[in-house]
Amino acid sequence: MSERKSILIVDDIVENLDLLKKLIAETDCDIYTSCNANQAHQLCQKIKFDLMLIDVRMPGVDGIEATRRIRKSSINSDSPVLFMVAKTDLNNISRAYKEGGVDIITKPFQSDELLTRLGTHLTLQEQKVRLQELVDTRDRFINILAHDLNSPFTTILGFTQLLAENLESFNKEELRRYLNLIHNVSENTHGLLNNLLSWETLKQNRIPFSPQKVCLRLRLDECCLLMRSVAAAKDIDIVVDVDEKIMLHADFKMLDTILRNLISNAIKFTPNSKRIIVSAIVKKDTCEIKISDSGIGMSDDVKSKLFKLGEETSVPGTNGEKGTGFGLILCNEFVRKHGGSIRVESEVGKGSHFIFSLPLFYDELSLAGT
Amino acid sequence: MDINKKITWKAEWNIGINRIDFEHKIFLELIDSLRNEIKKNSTWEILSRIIREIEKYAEFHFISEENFLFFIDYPQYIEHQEAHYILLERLNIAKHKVDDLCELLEFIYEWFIDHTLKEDIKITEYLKENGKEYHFSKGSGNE
Ligand SMILES: Nc1ncnc2c1ncn2[C@@H]1O[C@H](COP(=O)(O)OP(=O)(O)O)[C@@H](O)[C@H]1O
Ligand SMILES: [Fe+2]
Repeated sequence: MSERKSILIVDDIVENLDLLKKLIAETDCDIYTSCNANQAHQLCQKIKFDLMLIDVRMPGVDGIEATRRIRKSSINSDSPVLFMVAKTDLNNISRAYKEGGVDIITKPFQSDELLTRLGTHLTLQEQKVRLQELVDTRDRFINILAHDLNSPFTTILGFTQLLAENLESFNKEELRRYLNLIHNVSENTHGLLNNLLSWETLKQNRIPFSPQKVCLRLRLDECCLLMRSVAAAKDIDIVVDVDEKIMLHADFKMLDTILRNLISNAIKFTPNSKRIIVSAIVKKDTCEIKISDSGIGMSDDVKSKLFKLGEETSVPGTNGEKGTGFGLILCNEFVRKHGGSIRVESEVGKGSHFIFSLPLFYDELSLAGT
Repeated sequence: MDINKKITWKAEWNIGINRIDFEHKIFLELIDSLRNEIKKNSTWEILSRIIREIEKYAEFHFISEENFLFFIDYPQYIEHQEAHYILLERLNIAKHKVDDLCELLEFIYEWFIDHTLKEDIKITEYLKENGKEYHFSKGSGNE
């Protein structure tokens, strides 16, 4: 969770910048400095800071005006600001508080006090970001529950009623078609519910992570079996080209979730009568698993938003299948929990490859390459 | 500057306003305490306590002086106040660069004398030129 933090220091006096830089170096953060408002504003366009330390009294544009500009137009609109003010500069001290500075450091300062306060505000900021993430998840959940879980019921309720009321008027073929339809919608919805539950338990740290020896091929076959009817409805063939000797060191529930999501996406975003290929290659102590489709592909914009919570990216499937944009986020979390990584290669109109890596079971390392 | 020599007040530093002169004298005594502790090779704990006291006194004295300037409608009030901010800023930089304590002492001494002689003396000139009476609070001059 604790990644390296970035701090910006703005002060017109270079000696001050040097002094602060030296003191703050102790905290093991990335430190950026600038000696005027313009320079600071430019840096703020490129780098997201966890904390900004800004001197108020500067010639030209002062620290308070500089902060206003940064907040108005940069990715740092809600990064916390600590203002630095001369101890006796009572006027600027009250201006700084009014401007929404989280704190004020008066000069002359005591170095240990300065460091403690910086530390406190870095922690607060980290907690704030985490809380925002939790709230985002919650919002997303409610959204999904309200909208996406509602629509499949329309289909299920409508068709079951139709069947119940007019059972005799349908022939076997028609019955099979309607039942399959109901089944597929239920299957999709069930997958979604599973994703929601997994995410929730993962976020509350209640999900047991118990990696063990699992046969990749076996999990894939089982997964394809479950997905068979959904794929068949679109006349899509799933080819599994994976050696049954490959043994992963993975949590098989998580692995199932990853496979289910990636394969169901591939089906969803591939037009009728095409193919999906699942393959795996062994690399040193990890295995790279690749799910390839020849579907609609993705634009760079969609690609850049995948795996991240926040913006919704969901696009309906080629048959109008609804989604939530939640599946890949979950895949990413699960893969990362195993110490692996996930990436995508895709071209609009040509198709997509989702590639993720998981650790191999060590006993089987000798089988690498077979 | 001779570390062994006590820093004493010189008549030429008087600006002729009793209370300000009085505060300046205390300030100088504080600087002399610092000199004395440096001479005795005192611990950083003791030295930093005195530096802290100098800081605090500077803060008090600057506000006290600024109030006085306010009460006498001093025309360069803003500039003088600015000068005080800059002094605090410089003190802050100097105290964090203490590889050489004598250098710090010298800095604080000059910091103080320079400001007193150059800036504070202008206050007396202003009072004389304008034939002003001075007092330490608004309106108390007519007692
Ligand atoms: N195989 C794929 N081909 C094309 N686009 C895809 C593919 N997989 C995922 N996407 C894109 O990524 C988005 C997010 O996918 P996902 O997190 O699984 O959510 P959902 O499928 O529920 O929308 C999809 O809405 C779609 O735009
Ligand atoms: Fe002064």
